[in-house]
Amino acid sequence: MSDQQTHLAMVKRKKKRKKILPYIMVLPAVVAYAMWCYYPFIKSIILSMTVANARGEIKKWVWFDNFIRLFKSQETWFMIRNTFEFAFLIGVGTFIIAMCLSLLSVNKVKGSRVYQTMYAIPMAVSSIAVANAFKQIYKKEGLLNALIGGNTEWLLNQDTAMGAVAVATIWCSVGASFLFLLVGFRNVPIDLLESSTVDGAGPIRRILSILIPCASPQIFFVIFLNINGSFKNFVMIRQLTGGGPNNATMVLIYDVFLNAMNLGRFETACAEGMILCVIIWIFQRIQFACEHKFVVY
Amino acid sequence: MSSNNTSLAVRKSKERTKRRLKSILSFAFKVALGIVMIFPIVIMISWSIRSDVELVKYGASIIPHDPTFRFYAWCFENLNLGRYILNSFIQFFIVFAGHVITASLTAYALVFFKFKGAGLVFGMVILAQSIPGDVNVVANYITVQRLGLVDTFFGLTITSIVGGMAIFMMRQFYLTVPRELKEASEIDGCGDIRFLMRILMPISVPTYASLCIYDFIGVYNSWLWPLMVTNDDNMRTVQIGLARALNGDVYDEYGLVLAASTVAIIPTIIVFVIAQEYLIRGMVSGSVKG
Repeated sequence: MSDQQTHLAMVKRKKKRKKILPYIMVLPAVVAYAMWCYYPFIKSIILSMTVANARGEIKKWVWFDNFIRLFKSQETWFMIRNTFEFAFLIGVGTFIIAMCLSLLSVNKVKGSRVYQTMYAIPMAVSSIAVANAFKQIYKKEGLLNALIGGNTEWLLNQDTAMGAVAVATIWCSVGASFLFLLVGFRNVPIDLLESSTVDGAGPIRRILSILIPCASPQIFFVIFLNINGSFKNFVMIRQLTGGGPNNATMVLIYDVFLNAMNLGRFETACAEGMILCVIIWIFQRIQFACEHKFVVY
Repeated sequence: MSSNNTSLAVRKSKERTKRRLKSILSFAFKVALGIVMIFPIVIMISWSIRSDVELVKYGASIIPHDPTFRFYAWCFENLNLGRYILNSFIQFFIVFAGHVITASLTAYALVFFKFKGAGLVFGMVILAQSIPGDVNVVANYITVQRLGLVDTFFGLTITSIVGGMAIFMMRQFYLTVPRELKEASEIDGCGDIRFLMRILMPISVPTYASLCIYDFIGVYNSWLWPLMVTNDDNMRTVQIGLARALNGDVYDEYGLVLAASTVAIIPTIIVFVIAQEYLIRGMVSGSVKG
C-alpha cells in the first residue's frame, strides 16, 4: 500500500519535473536573446523615433519623422534598390555556383578530394585579407584588364563597381554553400541512384528527380543562409569601394554602419536598420511559405 | 569466327580507352575549375613575394621573376600576428561551445516537448535572425562597457553565445530523428537529460561538425564587434590586427598588405585542408546511419 503511494508520488514528481524541464532548457537561449538581441533592438526602435545626440542620448521624441524624411529622399530609394540588387546578385550567384560545383563533385573518385578542397577553400579565407587580392585584380593595371586587354577601373566605374564587389562577395560565400550542398547530395542513398540508372534515367533526370528532392532540406538551408547573409554583408563594400563611386555600391547596411560609427547619427542609422529588418522579415516569410511546399523530410 | 572475336576485343578495348579518356578529361576540367576558384589566393601569394619594380608593372606574369620574402620578414618583426591568430581561435572555441550547449538544449525542448510558449520561443529565434546585428552593436557595446568586459574574451564572445542558425540547424536535425528512438529509450527508463547526453548528442556529431564550419567562418570573419571591444593589442583578432596594419599607422606598401594577408589566412587554410576530409566523412556517414 505504502509502496504504491510512494510510487504514485514519484510518478507525480516526475511529471511535474517534465513540465518544468523544457522551460529550464530554453532559459539560457531566451536570456541571451533578451539581453543581446531584443533589448538593444527595442532601444534601436525607440532611437529611430527620436532625435539623439552624438552620444546616443535621446533629446526629442519625433515619432515617424525620421522615416518620413528617409522615404522622401531620393537617396534612400536608390540605396534600397542597390540593396536588392546586391542581395539578388549574391544570393542567386552563390547558390547557382555552389549548386553546379557540388553536382560536379557528387561522385567520389580517386583524387576528388583535390578539387573538392579547392572549391571549398574560400570559406576558410578571411574576407578582409582576400579583399586586398581583389583590389589587385580590379585595378587599372591589374590582372583582369591584363587578361581581357581592357583598361577599366573596375571599382571606380559606376557601371561595373556593383558587379565587381558582388563577385568578390560571392567568392567568399560560395565555399560554405558548396560544402553544405555536397553533404546533402552525398547523403542520398546510393541504391536509389543505382536503381534509377538501371531504370534508364539519364544524369539530368537523376539530378532533377532524385538528388534535388532528396537533398531538399539542405538546399533550403543554403538558400536561407544566403538570403539572410546577403542583406547584411558589407565587408567587401567597405574594403573595396566604400559605397562609391557616386554611391553606386551604397547599400542600407553600410549606411547604417556609417551613420552609427562615423557620423554619430544614431536616429538615422536606427531608422534605416528598421527598414532593413522589415525587408529581411518579408523575405523570410516568403521562404518559410516555400519550405512547406517544396521541402521533403 | 576468330576475326569476329578480335574485332569484339578491339571494340571493347577502344571503349575502355574512351571511358578512361573521358574520366581523365572530366578530372582535368574539375581541377581547372578549382584553380579558377583559388585564383585570388594565388594572386595574393604571388604578389606578396615580388620586388617593387614588378609590383607596379603592367601585365606581369603570375610567377614572379625575382621572388623576395622581405615583406614577410617585416610582418613577423613588426606585427603581433601569432597572438592575433591565437585570439581568433580562442574566440571561436568559446562561441562554438556556447552554441553547442544553448542550441542543443533549446532545439531539444522545441522538438521533443509540447509546452506552452514553444511557438513563442521559436518565433523569437526566427525573428532574431532578421535583426541585423550591426544595428544592435552600439547598444550592446554600452552594455558590455558597463559590465566592464571591454578587452576580455568574455566581452568578445558574450553577445554571440547564442546563435539562431545553430538552433535552426539542431532543430532540423532533431526533426529527422525517428520518434521510435525516443520512445524506446523512455521504455528503457532513460530520462530526458540522459537521452540527450547519451544518445542524441553522440548521433548529432555530424551536425555539430557542420555547425563548427559555420561558426568558424562567422567568428573568424567577424569584424565590427571585435573592432569595438578590443583596444589592447594583445586582445586583437586577426581581422582587426590586419585592418589596423593595413589602414592605419604602418601601411603604405602594397606587397606588405598582401604578405600580411597571406600570413593571416595560412593557419585557417591548413586547419581546413586537414579537417575537411574528416568533417565531410563524418557528415556523410553519420547521417546515413541515423
